[in-house]
Amino acid sequence: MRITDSFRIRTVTENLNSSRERMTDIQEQLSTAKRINRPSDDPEAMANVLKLRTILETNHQFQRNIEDGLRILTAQETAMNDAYEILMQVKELAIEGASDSITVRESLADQLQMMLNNLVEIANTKENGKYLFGGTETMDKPFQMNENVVKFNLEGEVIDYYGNKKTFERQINENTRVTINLTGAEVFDQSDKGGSNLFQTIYDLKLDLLNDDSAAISAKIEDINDAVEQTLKNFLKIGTRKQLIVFNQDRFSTQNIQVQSSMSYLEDTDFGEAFIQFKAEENALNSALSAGARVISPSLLDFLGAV
Amino acid sequence: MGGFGIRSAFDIGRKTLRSQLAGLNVTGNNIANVNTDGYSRQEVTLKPDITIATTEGVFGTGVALDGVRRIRDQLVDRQVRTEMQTKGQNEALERVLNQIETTINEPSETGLRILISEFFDNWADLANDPENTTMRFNLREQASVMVDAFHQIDKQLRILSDDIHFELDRAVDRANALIENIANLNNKILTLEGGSKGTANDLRDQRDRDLDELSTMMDIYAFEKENGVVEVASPARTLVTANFPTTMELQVTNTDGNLRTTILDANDGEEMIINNGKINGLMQARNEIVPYYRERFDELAYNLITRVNNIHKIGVGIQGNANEIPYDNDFFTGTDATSMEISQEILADENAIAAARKVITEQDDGTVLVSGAPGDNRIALEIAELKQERVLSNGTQSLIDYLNSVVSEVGMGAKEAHDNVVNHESLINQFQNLRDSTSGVSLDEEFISLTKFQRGFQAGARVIATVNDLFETLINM
Repeated sequence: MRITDSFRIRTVTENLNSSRERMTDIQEQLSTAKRINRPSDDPEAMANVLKLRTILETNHQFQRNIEDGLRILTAQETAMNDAYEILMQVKELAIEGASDSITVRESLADQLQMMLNNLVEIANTKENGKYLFGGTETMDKPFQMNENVVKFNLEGEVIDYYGNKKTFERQINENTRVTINLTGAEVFDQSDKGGSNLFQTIYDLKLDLLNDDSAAISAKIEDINDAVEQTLKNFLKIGTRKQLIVFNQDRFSTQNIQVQSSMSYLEDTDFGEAFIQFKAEENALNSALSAGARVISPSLLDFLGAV
Repeated sequence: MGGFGIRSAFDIGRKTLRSQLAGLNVTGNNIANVNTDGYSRQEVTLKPDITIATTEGVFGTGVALDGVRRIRDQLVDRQVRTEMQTKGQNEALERVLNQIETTINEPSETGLRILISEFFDNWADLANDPENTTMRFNLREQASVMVDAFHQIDKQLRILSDDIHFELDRAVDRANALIENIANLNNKILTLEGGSKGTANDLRDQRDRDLDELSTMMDIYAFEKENGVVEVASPARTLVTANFPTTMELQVTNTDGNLRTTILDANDGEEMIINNGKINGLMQARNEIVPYYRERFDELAYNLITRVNNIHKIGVGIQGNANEIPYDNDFFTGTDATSMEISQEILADENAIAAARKVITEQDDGTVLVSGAPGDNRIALEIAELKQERVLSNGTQSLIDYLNSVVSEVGMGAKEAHDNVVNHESLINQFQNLRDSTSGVSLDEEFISLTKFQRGFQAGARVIATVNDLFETLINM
C-alpha cells in the first residue's frame, strides 16, 4: 500500500485526537468527582441514579411528616398525663369528702372548682400555635366554660365545645396514613357514646359536696374511676400511634443510608481507578506524540543533498 | 535511406529534453499540491514515438508524450461517498441529541426533576401545617420556579427546532450550489476534453470534491458516462443530467403547534425524500425527534396540571371572607408546557391555596357558603400523595418516573448517535486511506521522480551535445 503524506498526517492526527478525547473524559470525571455528568455518559446508571434521588427526597419528606406527627402526639400525651393527675386528685378529694363535715366539704368544693378550671385549661392546650383538642378547628378555643358554673345554680351545659369531631392524618410512608389527633370530644366528653364527660363528672361532684349528699358523693367515685379509665385508654391509643411512627422513622434512617451508598457507587468517580487510567492515557499520548513526530518528519529531502 | 541521421539524432535529443521537462513539470505540480484537498496525483505518460521501417532496419524516433494521466480509483470514490452519507447523517443527529440533552439539564440541582419533587414535598409540608400562610407563600413561589422550568425547556426546544430549520435551509442552499457546480463542471469538462488530448484533470478533481461534499448532504449515485459527463441521481429523481441541474427548496407546515419542514423539487413542486446524509439527519431532527420530546413534556405538564387541579378544585383556601372564596379553585391554568401557569387567584393571594376540603352550606337566603376547617389537611395530603401515584403510561409510571424515562431516552439516543459517529469514523478513515493510497502525493516518490527526470534531461542533453560534436566534426572536415 502506498503511504502518502496526507495518509500519514491523517493517521497521526486521528490517533492523537482519540487519545486526547479519552483524557478529557477522565479529566472531567476527576474534576466533577462524578462518573456520570450527562445522561449519555451512562444512560442506564443515570436512570437508576435519578430514581434513587427521588426516593431519598421522598424519604426525607416522610421523615419530616413523622417528626411533625410525633410532636403533636407527644404534646397530647403530656396534656393527658396532666388530666390524669388531676383526676387522681379529684378521686382523693371525693374519698375524703365522702366522710367529712359540711364546712370541710365547702372548701373541698372550692378546690374542685380550681381543678375544673385547670382541666379546662389543659383541654385548651396549644401546640405550635394551634389548639390540640379542637379536631380540625385548630384556630379557635375549643372549650368554653359556662360562666354560671361558679354559681350554685347552673342551667345548661358546664362546658361548650366549639371544636369538631374530625381527625387529621400524616402520611408516614408510601402506603400509610396515620390519624394523629384525638378530638376534644374523644378525650373529654364521650357522653353521647355512653362514656364519661370529665368536666360534668367533676362539676357534679362539686354540687354533691355543696349539697352535703354523702351517698351521692360515694357513688361519684365510680364515675371518677370510669373517667380515669377512659383517660388511660386514650393515653394508650396515643402511645400505640407513637410506636408505629417511630418504627417507620428508624426504617427510613436505615434505608437512606443504603440509598446513598448505592447512589455513590453508581455516580461517584472512583478516584484511584480514574487516576490510573489517566496516567495510562497520558503515557499513551506521550508515546503517540513522540512516534507521530518521527513518522511525519523525515522524507527523502533530508537525505538527497546536492545532486 | 533515411530512418536515422544527424537530424533525427538531434530530434531524438530534442524530444527527450521536452518529455523529461514535461515529467519535471508534472512532478513539480504534484509537489506543489501535496497539501491540496482532493488533489489526485498526475503522471506523465511517455511512450515510444513511431518507428520507421527502412531497408536497413526498424528505427525508433524517440519518446512521445501521451498525455498527463490522473490517478483516480472510481470504485473507492463510490465507497467513500457512501460512507460520507452515513457520516453526515450521524453527525447531524449527534449534534441535535446533545443539544436536547443539554436543554433537559439533568442531573442537576436546578433541573425539572428536583423541582417537581420539591413541589410535591411542599404540599406535604403544607399538610403538616395547613393553617400556615408563609408555607403557602413558599409553595407558590417554588411552584412558579417549576412552571418556569417547563417554559424554559419548551422554549429551548422550539428555538432548537427553528435553528434546525435554518441549518436545513443553509444545507439545501449549499446542496443546490454544489449540484449547479457539478452541472457547470460537466459542461466545462466536455468542452475541454473535446478539443484537446487527455483529461481535464483539475476540473475533474473539482467535480470529485463537489461530489464528495454533496454526499455528506444527501444520498446520491454518481456515474460517469462515456462522454465524461457525470450524472447524479438521488433515489427518487435525477439531480444532474448532462449540464442540467435540479434545484431543491424548503417548505414549512404547521402540525399541532409543531413546525415541520418538507423538501420540494423546485421544478415540479413534488416532495423529495432524502434518505441519508446531513439533510436527512436534520429532517429527522426537525420533523420527528424534537417534536417527540416536546410532546413528552407537554404530556407531563398536562397530567400535572389536570391531576393537581382535580384535587384542588374540591378544596378551599384560607382567605378571610367566606363570600370571596371562589367556587372552583384551580391551582394551575393551561394545558401544556407552553401554556402552563399558576392561576390568577393564587398569584393574587397565596391564601387561596387549598389544604382543606370544601364544606358547602346553604344559607337561608339561598346563597352558598364555602368554608373549610383550618386544621383539615386532606387536600394537601392528597396532592402530596400524587407524587408517588402511577398516573402515566397505563398506570406504570408516576410523573417523576415518566420524566426520568424521558431523560433516559435522550441519554441513550445521544450515546447511540455518538457511538455511531465514532464507530463509523474508523470505517471512513479506512476508505479515505485507500483513496489516498491510490491518488495521494507521496513526497518521497516525487523527489525520486525529480531525480529521475533530471537524469533523463541530463542524458538527453548529453545526446544533443554528442551529436553536436559529430556535426562540428563534419563541418570542419
